[in-house]
Amino acid sequence: MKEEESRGAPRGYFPYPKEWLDAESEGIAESVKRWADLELIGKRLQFRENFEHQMKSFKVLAADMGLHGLIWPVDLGGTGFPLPGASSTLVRVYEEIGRAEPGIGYVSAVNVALAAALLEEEAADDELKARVAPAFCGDGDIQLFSLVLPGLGTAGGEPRTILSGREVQAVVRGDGDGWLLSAEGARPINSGYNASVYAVIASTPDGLGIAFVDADAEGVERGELLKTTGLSVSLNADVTFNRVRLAKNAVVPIRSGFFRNLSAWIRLLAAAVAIGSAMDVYAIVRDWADNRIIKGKGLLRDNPMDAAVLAQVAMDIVESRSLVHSLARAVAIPGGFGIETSEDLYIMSGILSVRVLENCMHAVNRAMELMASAGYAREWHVEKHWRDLKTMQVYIGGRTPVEMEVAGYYFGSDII
Amino acid sequence: MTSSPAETYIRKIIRGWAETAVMPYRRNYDEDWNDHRLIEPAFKALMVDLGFQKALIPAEFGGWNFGNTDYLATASAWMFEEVARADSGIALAFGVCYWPMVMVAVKPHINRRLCAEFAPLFVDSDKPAYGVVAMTEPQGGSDIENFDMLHGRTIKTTARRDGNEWVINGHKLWPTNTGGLADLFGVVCTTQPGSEKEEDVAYIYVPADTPGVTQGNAYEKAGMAADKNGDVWFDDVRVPLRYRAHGPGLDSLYFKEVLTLGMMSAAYSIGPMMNVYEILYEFCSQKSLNGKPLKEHDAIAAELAEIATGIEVSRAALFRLAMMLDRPDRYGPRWSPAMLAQARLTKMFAADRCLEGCGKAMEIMGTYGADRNWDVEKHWRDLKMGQLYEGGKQLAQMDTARFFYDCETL
Repeated sequence: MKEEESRGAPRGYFPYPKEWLDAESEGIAESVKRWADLELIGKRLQFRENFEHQMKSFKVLAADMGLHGLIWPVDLGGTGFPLPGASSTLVRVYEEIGRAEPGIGYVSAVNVALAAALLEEEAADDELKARVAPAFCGDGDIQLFSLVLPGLGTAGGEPRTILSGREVQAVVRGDGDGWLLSAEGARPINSGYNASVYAVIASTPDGLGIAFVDADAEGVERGELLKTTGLSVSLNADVTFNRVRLAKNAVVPIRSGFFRNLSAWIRLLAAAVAIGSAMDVYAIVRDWADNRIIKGKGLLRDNPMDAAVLAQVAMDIVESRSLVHSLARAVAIPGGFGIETSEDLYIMSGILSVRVLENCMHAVNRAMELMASAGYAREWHVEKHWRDLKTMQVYIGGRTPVEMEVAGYYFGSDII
Repeated sequence: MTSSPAETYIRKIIRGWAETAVMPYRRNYDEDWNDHRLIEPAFKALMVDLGFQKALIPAEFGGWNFGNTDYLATASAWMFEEVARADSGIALAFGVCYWPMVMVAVKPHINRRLCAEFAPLFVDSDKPAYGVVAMTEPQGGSDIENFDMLHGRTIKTTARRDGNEWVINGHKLWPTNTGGLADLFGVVCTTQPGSEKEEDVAYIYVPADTPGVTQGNAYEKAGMAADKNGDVWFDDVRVPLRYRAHGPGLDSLYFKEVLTLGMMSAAYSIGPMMNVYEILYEFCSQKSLNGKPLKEHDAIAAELAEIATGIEVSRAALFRLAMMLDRPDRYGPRWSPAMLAQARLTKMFAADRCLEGCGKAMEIMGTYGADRNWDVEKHWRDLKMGQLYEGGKQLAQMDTARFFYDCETL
């Protein structure tokens, strides 16, 4: 590279591998960027966390603009972006959504990840896909899926099936020509309060399955709306499945690979949302640093101590973006990064998503430090990103479980 | 740590109040940030019914005399920690009620005339008396707290002498106990705008009902609903000359003590973490991973150990600081740069460790960590605010470095 004069980074310049995205993908990302600016960022002070406005904007994105149908085959009503190659496109898109509203990004990411895992699942037959597709590909009201994954159990409680160290929350038993689904107070990872359908990983007489349960089915009991730290779009509630009767084809047998694949998609897209969120915080704190006078004479950005903090914000984002786009590429080209199996991908996605979420939390925390009281004032919006990121971090799983899995993968440690 | 009989007694009283008046209701405090329908009765129970708003005031004016003892800081640590265990927003509001009176109700600089004038507000009232230190201004954030570097040079709020009165003009942001609550302001202002002479800094009391005082609406924040903050405008506000706390030179000197004692806010970080520990103990005993209680997993136990360590070491640092502040005969006056540095580093350490520990607790709890029903996420939001207020981390770093390394230009 020839030596040039320093030009400084243009505002918001965080490089990513553009050669991994074609013009069509960039066009989609640009459309989502416009949606983000017009629907949400430009109306923040007016609507704050108004749920109706969030859902109205979400519908525009998911249904009217067709994001939720993007990866579905054309014959099922989708746009036909092929999997797994769409991963880089999706990462760019979810960065833009995260910039505007991480809650929408997270709920959408979980739903699209479910779709991606289903479309890639060999055991999911065409009939199932055709049944699920309209919820993603229609242009009417949004149909949200709430995902019930294995999680924490109750000490001393009835033994449960273990999947990747986590306890499977639901049980399916045969009942004539169908199934009965049971779970007590299961905790979904999204939208338990307002989903149209629950997608529940359950133990079955033959192993594991994923059960699709209409929210209005008899025996489905939603708990009270949970008040959560952030991600206010994801209205969540514990759900009890009280011997809910399901048709035979409502439960799809799955391999452990399905759970790993699903987890990897969730982690990838959630990490992209987190980066978008951190990028928006960068934009806010940059404005702050450009205008804030300290000690009665200099700009905050020109104070060496504060500049060091600002630098960390940028470094966290640059590193995170590099990691996530690499992960997306690894997903897009099976074997291309030496990632051959669902276990390989699961571990890599765990490592990288933990790192990215921590980086983004770090970036936002540091930005808040410089903004002091304005950092926690709702009107500046930084604190919302901070709450959303933390909520996403705990919902997709923190560091310790991933560390246990990584130790098992790299060192053969028998701990989870 | 062993407790004195007085500490045991006071903690027991506060804990009883916390368990009945705060903890059953605190999950709904976020929605109560503006109205204080839930918060106000709890605050009144503490301040008025139990009488804690009398604590600082000298006995001769009807108070509990803490300001006139050798255990002011230590007693503050017990009280603040215990109140903050239930709700750090209430603890902050509680502590700040005293804060403006530190200038005149704490030995060795008790101003008996002003105590006589303002003490009834605290000792003879059937409603909470909201004291306020009006310090931060729009243009400079924590510049005013950066006293040893700027010496009041950036203060824009002015006090002009006119006959037997001070005429005050200025705009303050963010003081605790404002947003319509304030009863008495201690206003940090200057008699010579732009001056770097500390004797030009004035600390003047302004009753909130004085003509020309306007309190703006409360700000909506990430947490600490009990701590109401807003803009305050002083437009040609006239108060008697005697309302200046001590006069040129002494106002600025004792204001440094106000800043130092303000760092007892480390207790507002430690108290919530004591409660997080209690919750985490229960959670990690009840919930399992891979069929084993969470606390029995070595990797999780290692995280739990870090959390406990953060609490214990922060607490040790807080009570060490309190001991130093209570013994100026050994450690020097509370307004010295040495004590300010000790206070800043203690608050910074406790705020950072407790916030980090609470974040870890949320991660261990998974989806339950972000669920208000478990109370940990509320503490996490409050703890972040504790890290940021009072000048935040960077100012604490500068005051600490300035003292320990003799920095001259920070």
